Amino acid sequence: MSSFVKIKKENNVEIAGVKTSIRNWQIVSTGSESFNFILGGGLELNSITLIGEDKYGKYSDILTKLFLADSFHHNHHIYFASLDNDPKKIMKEIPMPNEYQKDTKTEETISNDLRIAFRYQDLPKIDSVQRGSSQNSVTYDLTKKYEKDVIERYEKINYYSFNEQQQRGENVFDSIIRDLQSTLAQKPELLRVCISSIGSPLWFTGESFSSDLITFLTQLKSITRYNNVVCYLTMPLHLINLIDEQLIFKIRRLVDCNINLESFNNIEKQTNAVFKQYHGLLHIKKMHSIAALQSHKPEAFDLAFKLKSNRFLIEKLHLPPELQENDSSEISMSCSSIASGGGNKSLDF
Amino acid sequence: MISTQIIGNYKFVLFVDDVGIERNSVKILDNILREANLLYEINDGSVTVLKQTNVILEAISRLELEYNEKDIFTNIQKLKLNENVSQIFAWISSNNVHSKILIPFLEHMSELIVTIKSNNQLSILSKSKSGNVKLKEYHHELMNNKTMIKEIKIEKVQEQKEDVNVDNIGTFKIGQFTAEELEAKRNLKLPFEKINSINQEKKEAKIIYTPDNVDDFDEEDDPDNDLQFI
Repeated sequence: MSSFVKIKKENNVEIAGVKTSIRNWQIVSTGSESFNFILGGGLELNSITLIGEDKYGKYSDILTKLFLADSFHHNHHIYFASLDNDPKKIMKEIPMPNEYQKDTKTEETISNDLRIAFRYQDLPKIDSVQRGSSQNSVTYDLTKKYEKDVIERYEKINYYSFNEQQQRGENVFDSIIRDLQSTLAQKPELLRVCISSIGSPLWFTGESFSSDLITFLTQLKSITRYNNVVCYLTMPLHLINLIDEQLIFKIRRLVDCNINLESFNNIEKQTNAVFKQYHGLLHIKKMHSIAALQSHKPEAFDLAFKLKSNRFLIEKLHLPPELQENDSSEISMSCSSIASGGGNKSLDF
Repeated sequence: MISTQIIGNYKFVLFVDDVGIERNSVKILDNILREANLLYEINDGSVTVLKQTNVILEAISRLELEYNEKDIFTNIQKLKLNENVSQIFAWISSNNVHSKILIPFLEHMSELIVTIKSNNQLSILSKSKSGNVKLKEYHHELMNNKTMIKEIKIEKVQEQKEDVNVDNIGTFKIGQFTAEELEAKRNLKLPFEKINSINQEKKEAKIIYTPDNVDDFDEEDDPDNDLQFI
């Protein structure tokens, strides 16, 4: 008879949709496979993630919808605040999950017409999409939407919209904190907080905006840490920069994870020809590390995103091969134009 | 006509004037809306709109004197949410406003931005509901009360790329082979190429040994002689 007593992890509650990972303790999916992979599995429980919006908000909108879709699918409690657009309307447009598909990753081997060494013939084509090897997470199809009443009937959701703010008449930040505290008083299993476009014109409270925002984030952080909460915020950082240049650094200190999107519009400046196949760049400014000393280090820091009709993909940034000598008017990487020896066209070996 | 570009699904249309023609702003907007046969009422944002109409806001630089920025944004949003309002037109002159944030913030809120860059040039930036953004440049004569605009097509300056004649690039041929050369090329055995199983030689490993003149089979000194194996 041994006196060995097995230590049970009493606080490891099984919540649907929350995975336990070695490094990050408990993680929640963002809704996008690639995004999960970059974050090291997903969003950490008890963390605040900040997405810096792209200038016209198209892609950050999609990421928000994916986050909400995942929350809805796993039956989590949702708190969705948005002053710019009607949150109920956005919620009705969330994507449906893909039906469970077995690993249908078609391995495109290099075609047989090419005569290359046998060692390389059977290798699959290079796939720079960031994704994990296990395909267990639920993915969402952006083209499929739920039926209207399915979402209307969902009870575990609280909205905060512009009209709500006008009715209450108090400071936006105060009312959100109050709402969160009352929602948490009901002890939900997991509360997913999604606040869109903080810092847009409608959030502006005047001269005290900077300090109000910092106070709000501090309060939010303490709520998030001590309850089962995951926060997902988006901010139009180009506007916040205009209010106060130092503000973004203070904000970054308070959130746990900060990822900025930069989309290519082809309007203001001619998009570099190099970026033709992508829709924008992804900048990781801060990585979360609540449960560990070191944060997850992504495989590559040069990341670009692409929006396919039904998926949001993040890829390692690849420059296309420099096949021809380009004129200097077509913007190419400066080192390559120097290396091509400017003007001398014959390939002499 | 400028009205065809502006009138439509864009709830909040912003005119950004970099030239300084604010005193003509109401006249210009009046011309445009009259051309499209639309009713409008001038509003400073604080009055509730009760019947179906378009709203021309008082010039933002004037509103700025009366309200603070927060109230301007809130009032515009209330007008946007008001179902009686078909479209809101606002005029902002960059040299008349004091607040640095007004123009970028209002641009963020608007669905269509007309930027009057000079006396004869303007640009229209339109944001569609699906998130796509388009920017077009036009010639205009709004100062002369004319509402015709002509699109300027920006021609991409394409320097003549000398067509690289592939054949003459290097010291070896890349394209254009004769039939014999092609045949020879196809039959060439490359070093690490996977050989087709049909043509594969027999699987036994053969050691082909041709002894030189100097090599002799030395029967007596063969040390393995006494081993008894087959």
